[in-house]
Amino acid sequence: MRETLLLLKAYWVGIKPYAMFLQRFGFRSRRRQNKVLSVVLAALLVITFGYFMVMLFSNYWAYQTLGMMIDRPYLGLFFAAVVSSVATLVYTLTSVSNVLYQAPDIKMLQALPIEERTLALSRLAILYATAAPIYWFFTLPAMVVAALIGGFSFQLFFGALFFLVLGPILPLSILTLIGVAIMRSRIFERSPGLSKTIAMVLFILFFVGLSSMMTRYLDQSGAMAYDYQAMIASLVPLIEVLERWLKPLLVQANALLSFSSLFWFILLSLGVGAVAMQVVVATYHSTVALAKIGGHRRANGRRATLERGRSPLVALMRRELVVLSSQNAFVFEIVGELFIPLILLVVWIITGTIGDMAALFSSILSLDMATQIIFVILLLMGNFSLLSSTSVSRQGKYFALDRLYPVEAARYVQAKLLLHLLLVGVTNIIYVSTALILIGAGAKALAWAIPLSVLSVAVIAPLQLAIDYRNPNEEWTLAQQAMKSNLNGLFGLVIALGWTVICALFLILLPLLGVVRAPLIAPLFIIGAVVARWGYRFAINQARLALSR
Amino acid sequence: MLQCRGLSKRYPSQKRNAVDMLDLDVAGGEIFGFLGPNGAGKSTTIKMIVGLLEADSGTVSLDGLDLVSSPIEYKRMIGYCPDEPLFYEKMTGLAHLGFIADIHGLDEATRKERITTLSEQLLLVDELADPISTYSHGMRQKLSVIAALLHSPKLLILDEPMVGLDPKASYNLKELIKSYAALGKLVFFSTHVLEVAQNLCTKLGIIEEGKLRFSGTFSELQQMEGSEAQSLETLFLRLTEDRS
Repeated sequence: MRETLLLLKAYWVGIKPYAMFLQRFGFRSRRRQNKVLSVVLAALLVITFGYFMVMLFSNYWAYQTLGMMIDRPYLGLFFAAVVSSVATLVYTLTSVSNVLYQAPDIKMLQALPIEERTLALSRLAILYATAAPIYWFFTLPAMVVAALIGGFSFQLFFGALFFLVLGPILPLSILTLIGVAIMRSRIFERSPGLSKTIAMVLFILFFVGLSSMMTRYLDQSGAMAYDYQAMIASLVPLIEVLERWLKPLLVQANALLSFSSLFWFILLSLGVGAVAMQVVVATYHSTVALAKIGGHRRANGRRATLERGRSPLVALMRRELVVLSSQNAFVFEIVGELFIPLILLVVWIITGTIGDMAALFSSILSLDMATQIIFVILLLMGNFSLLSSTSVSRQGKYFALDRLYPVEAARYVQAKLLLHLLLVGVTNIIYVSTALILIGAGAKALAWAIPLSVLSVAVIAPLQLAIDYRNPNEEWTLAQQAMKSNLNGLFGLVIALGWTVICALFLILLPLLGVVRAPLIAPLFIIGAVVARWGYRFAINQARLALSR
Repeated sequence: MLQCRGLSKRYPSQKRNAVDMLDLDVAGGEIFGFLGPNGAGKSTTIKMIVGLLEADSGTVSLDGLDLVSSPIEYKRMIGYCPDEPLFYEKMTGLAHLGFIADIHGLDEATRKERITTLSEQLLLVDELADPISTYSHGMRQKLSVIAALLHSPKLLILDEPMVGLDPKASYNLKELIKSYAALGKLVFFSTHVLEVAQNLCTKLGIIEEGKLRFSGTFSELQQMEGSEAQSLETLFLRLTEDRS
């Protein structure tokens, strides 16, 4: 136990996950501009955090109140248990194999006189320590709501305490068992990222579905009031299904209300946790060995064949793909971002909200500005990407290699931007043209919408790339530090949002307010072309500086 | 000719320069052995020569081409094999070599011929089809040497190249270095194995505390120390211990 804690402490001191995240804000920068930017970003994050908290709180309040009406006083807590578990699963899925089996420090630790069992337990402890805060974030508001509605009691206090401490064990145990199965399966051998990506997309569908439920029953007044009649009418059958399928979470929710449920919850959590722990410990050595070589693969003995030569530009683009596919977390992010519109469509179908969405879209379609509105929505969705804004960071320590190759900074930038254009630009063209054809927009609309969607990529991507070249994260240890937890990605999203706002202004708002008579398409193209050209040069300059550092 | 003039570098956390006003000349056909105790400044110097690290002051040039003003042309003329080579682990060895060949713009015939020759010389033929993640340390070292030599650079820089190589591969590499220098190319390598340096190098440089203590042939070192029968190991220890 002492050694396990020692290893956990060493990991925390060595990796400093939260300190590293805060460091990316750049508060220590001497430049005043950077400091202002840091403060703005920090404020944005705090506002986002607060908004989420308010949304969670009001939803838990609504479900807890609804529960009182339909004789289910645990409903808000049950909802919290489901949301927290799914959020923990989603957040941890791409990092579970990394933390348990593939982290770079494992190789070093294996050489030390540490028992395999201790090492395995320490990795599980690390997994818990990194995932539990996410779980608590989604759970804590429900505890407060339960105390406010039901009143404070010792039962509630002890129940809440065990809910928080033991709650993450169930999702993490399931995830761990899935992780072990994937790492040891032949699927991992054939395609290390595919199985995880599929699992992750399924979880995302579930997660986005839940979040759409969070706003679905809000009253039209917009004052966080809920339409309880509508909720009772449509939610009760769904709640009954969830209660049947998610029995352990039902027991967990009731742990705050009855001691017998608390007893069963503790027993269940410890039991499932012990099974997962035993499986990890028993298979640790062989799974780490498999992880090192990327599956059951053996040297195949076949004669190597050399591929045909390519230009340096194409070679660098292919290299980008190699970097992108080197980590499951990267693959998932990109797949998720590229298929957001499709994922949303599936989620709406699954959660039964497709009817609401269809009604919303038909009301949009009745407007004069329908084409422009649909275009701007798709523009936002299509460019909601971390591809370029974390491109250099994804290379990590390998970025040093770029300083060795006899390649101009411009060539690196071109390779990254062309790949962005191929991945994001092409999917954008498909979405925009499909959507506009489906709504019956004519050839005239397609004639400006398709070039504008491509131009938008050319505006956004170079600026995002410049940000990452300016301050790349070359020191990451866990893949999510390079992409998901990389502040440059957030800056990039702000840029994408900014350009979408400009497009909305020129295409929708100004004509709507009567400032101009028709959408300002030509000026938008001119501004876009100027910004794209400037952004491209800016990106090259930043790349040149980064490569000479 | 590789020329370093007044090369200096200080790391932010250090009180003294890691490399201090270093002047160095290596001519074509020479095998230059760069020696020094741990922390003497060998790796820092090498990193500045290959362009991985920016010098605080001083210049580096190869055949008159300056690293700072003509970085691309300069880098086209060098091949670098680091002490801990970095690879994209999911690539196969051959894919990596293909990538390096693409970067240097080698044509089909040349790349095929060089990869075949070098992989046979360094005994890394069958393994080229396997992912680099399955390679041993020695195999990585061999792959790094092949990649560094693929475009026939004018200057070959090797940082501790013998570490991890089996005796046969080590012998082959030494022969390869000799034949490479015989073509009029420059070979610059750092090593802690003084026996290898004594037998292989035509010129030696000894660095200590960031300063170049000696630069010349082994016999010049013997003459300077006044003991012509002594081995490089003895002379090196005497030279570095006298100073410290």
